[in-house]
Amino acid sequence: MVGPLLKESAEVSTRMANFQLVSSLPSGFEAPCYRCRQPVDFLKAAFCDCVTRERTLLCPSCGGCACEAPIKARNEFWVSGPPALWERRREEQSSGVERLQSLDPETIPRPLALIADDDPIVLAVAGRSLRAMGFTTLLTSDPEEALELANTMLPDLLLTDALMPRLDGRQLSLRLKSSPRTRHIKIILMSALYRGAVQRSEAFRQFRVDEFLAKPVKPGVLREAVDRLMPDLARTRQHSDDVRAAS
Amino acid sequence: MSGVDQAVCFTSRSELLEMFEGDVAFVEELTQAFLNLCPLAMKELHAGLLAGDPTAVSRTAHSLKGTLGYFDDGDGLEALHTLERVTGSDLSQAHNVLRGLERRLGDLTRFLTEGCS
Repeated sequence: MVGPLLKESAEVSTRMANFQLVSSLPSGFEAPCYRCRQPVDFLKAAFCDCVTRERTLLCPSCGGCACEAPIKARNEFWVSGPPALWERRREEQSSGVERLQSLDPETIPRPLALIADDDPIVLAVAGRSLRAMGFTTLLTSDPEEALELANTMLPDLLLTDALMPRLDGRQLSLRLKSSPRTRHIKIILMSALYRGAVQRSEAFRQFRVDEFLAKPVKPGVLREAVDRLMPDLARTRQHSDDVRAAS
Repeated sequence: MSGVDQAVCFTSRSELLEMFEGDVAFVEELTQAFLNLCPLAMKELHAGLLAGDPTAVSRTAHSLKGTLGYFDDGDGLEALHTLERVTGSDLSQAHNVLRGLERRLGDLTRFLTEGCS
């Protein structure tokens, strides 16, 4: 299976291999973490475990990775990065492609959310929101790939746009709910067009979605919906938040 | 409607920051992505209307609507809702709606780039 998700990673990997190394810092590369602003020696930082797209470096202070950093900031960071760091990145990119190809539903960090939307901004917002809730995220703009990923990776949650080219999100829901292998996946349908009570009830009854949200889906609304559908996850997160607050 | 009244319906930067748990970098990126998207979408809407292609108009309006809602809960969203449902018989009316949308997006762009909060 080589869908757009894998192709994208492969392309990134090729770009990295052709990159001309211009910086020559011998050891240590200190820069502020984009999130907590603490100075970090990124030569000693580990790469994150994010499953999709290119993996980025983890800040040892706040534990955040740069996957959600603005692209401009990431580019500036890498342009000034030393060859040793580029070498590590190249290795990570190659292994990242293999990693995506060999994703195993048994070992992938869970809870796992699959997000399907042909709007990159909606993908970014939903991905960020679900990662903040503790999900590992798989993002795709291709509904057919979403179907394939749902069948192979068996995500705990599918967040899908209702209207997408080639395969409608409602049909995607129906197909997954009709199969014993995938019917356990909680499905949230998002729509900017179908907002009325009739369409909402049709989505539940006919297409068997678990939740229906009108676009734009705001993070707070998404969080409430996920908490309703996955109360165990909400309790675990609340517990972690309490422990963090107490410490 | 005055500039101040219009701004009331736009999502302020502080509201966006609240929505995204204070993640300044993400709000910046989202805003920038939206500002980049707007002129392209407007071009496509104009082209769709000129070509008399209601499907293209509807598709572009639908896709812009998913994002505009983060920044504008008011007239802009209404205009896109109308364009989304446009049919061949009411394309001439759609021109007026598009002009209104253009003004609204112009106001929103100024609101976002001038850093109103």
